[in-house]
Amino acid sequence: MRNLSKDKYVITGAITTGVFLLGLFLGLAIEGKRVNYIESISRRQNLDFSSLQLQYAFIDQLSQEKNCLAVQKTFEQNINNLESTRIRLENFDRDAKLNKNEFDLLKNEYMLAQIRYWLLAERTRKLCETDVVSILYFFSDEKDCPDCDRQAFVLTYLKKKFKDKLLIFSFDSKYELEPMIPLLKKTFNITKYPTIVIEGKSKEKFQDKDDILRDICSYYKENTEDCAQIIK
Amino acid sequence: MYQTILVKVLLWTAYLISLYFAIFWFLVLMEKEKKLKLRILKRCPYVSIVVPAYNEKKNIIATLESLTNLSYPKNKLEIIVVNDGSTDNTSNIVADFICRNKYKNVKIINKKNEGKGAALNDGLAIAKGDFFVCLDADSFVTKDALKKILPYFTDESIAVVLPLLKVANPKTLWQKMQWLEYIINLFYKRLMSRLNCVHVAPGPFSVYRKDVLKQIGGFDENNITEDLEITLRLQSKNYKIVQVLDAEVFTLSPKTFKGLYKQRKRWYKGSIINAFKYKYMIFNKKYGDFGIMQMPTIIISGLIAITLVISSLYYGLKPYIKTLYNSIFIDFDFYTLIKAFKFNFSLLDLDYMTMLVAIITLCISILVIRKSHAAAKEKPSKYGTLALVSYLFFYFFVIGLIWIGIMIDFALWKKQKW
Repeated sequence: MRNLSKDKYVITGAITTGVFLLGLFLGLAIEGKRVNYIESISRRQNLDFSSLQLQYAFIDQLSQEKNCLAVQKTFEQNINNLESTRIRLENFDRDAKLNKNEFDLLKNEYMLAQIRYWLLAERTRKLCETDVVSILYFFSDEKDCPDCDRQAFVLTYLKKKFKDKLLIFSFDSKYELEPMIPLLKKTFNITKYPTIVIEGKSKEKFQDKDDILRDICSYYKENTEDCAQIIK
Repeated sequence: MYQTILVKVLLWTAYLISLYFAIFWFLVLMEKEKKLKLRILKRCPYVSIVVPAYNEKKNIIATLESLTNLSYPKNKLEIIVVNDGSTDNTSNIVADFICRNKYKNVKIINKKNEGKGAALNDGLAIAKGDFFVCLDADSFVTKDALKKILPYFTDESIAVVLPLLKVANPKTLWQKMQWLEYIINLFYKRLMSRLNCVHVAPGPFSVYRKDVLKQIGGFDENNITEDLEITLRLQSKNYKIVQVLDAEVFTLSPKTFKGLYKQRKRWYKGSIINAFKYKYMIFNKKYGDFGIMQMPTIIISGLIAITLVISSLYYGLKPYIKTLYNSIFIDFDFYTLIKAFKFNFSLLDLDYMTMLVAIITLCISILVIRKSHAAAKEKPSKYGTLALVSYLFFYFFVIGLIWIGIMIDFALWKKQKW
């Protein structure tokens, strides 16, 4: 009868399980930390929003239009923070194992924040006479919307090009839990993805860089270099 | 959705199995080895060395010279060159060498080309020695190799003793990586040999007990890896195979990827085909650790290599390929993207699970490289850091790619030529 190292197989099994569990617990601990991290950032951002709202109210009530520029800067900063946290949240949610619900709630909150910022931007546009264009971007997951990936890429690119002159708010259309999403979809008549809404006019299917450029450039009062190229 | 779950399950299974193997052999490594009581050679036994040669005019003289230089009584040593129908002038070159050889212990058999297995059997048929040694015509022995190997035949059940095989004079990066690979593999085989789990006695200078070889019917003549087949057959008859690390033999290795691909394809295909031939040993307790651990390893190591290579390529390259594809739609205006790039990083963004696996793998690799080189009395950086780094991070992919090629061949029912 040949030798069989039974005890070695058992010990190896125990150690392997140990390492695996260690990895699993580490993963879950990190996930918990991620939830806390996003929650604390989101509290901070809520506070930022209230402050921003107050700043605009202040300008409006006391006719302090000369301060518009400074407040505009804060607005831009806040919205950039919001976007980077939203992307991080998407990534965390994709990897999540146990805390899917928490991440879903946080995503919901971020969606609302985007809507709030959009409305605020619309309201203050007249007040401060800003030269901005806003785009609403409705997307869905990869299965339902194979084009969404490149649409998002093009929009991110344009945002980087126009910076604070272009505001992009993105909405996960699958998110029916939040009543605001169906409401928005109904308002802008959205049935297919990707759809982008430029200054209230919706466009279905993938829009390439030049299509969007032509559209947004027609709204700017001031003619920029990027727009000069496309209009020419 | 289900596809991604399937991929993840597959990937984690591959991780877990590799982790299990690594820990198992690590435990074997950590265990104190029972010191073998080596036999003292009171009288030197008669040894027959067979050199099968097919178109080996370039290397055969060096091979034969290394054999005639062996420090072993010349009257106890016969060297039989089996010219396997060479179409170059191997035969003349060897005949010339025989004339010059003063010990008159080299002979040549000329036969029509039938492959290595048949050539070895022809040598076996006329071998007079108690021990039968096979030496490929692309390999060279060190002077004391035979004297160091024979004392390991301490009991009747030991059928084969294998030397430490090193790559001779590595020149190209491919050869340098193989040099590292051989040292590590041989160290691993030494560990296997502690549990009698060696599954291949390679062509260069494996020393067999001749009566055992004859008893089990010699080499399989229709096998693409006859060395692997005979080892599995010996295992199936419960013989012991011992790997030693103190007798050195050098072998030439492929210089290019093409050569390596051809060689490995034959080896790995042969391992799968022969493992299926002896499939009754798989998970069979009767064959001890060899049945439970080694036979399954032969079958699944290729699958694991493929899974890990494909998944790491997929996860590693996918984001870049996507970005590159998407860049078509912004007319490749990377300037704007780079200009607006902001460093935004949080420690929480890291994928700790994958990192844990990567770190464990790297630590084990470094430990094994250090230990194996110490055992072979070599420095890992002997042939440069580039070779070492390429071996650590790149060689694995090459092996994985070769395995993918093999699976495609199997799927297409392609027949392997020797």
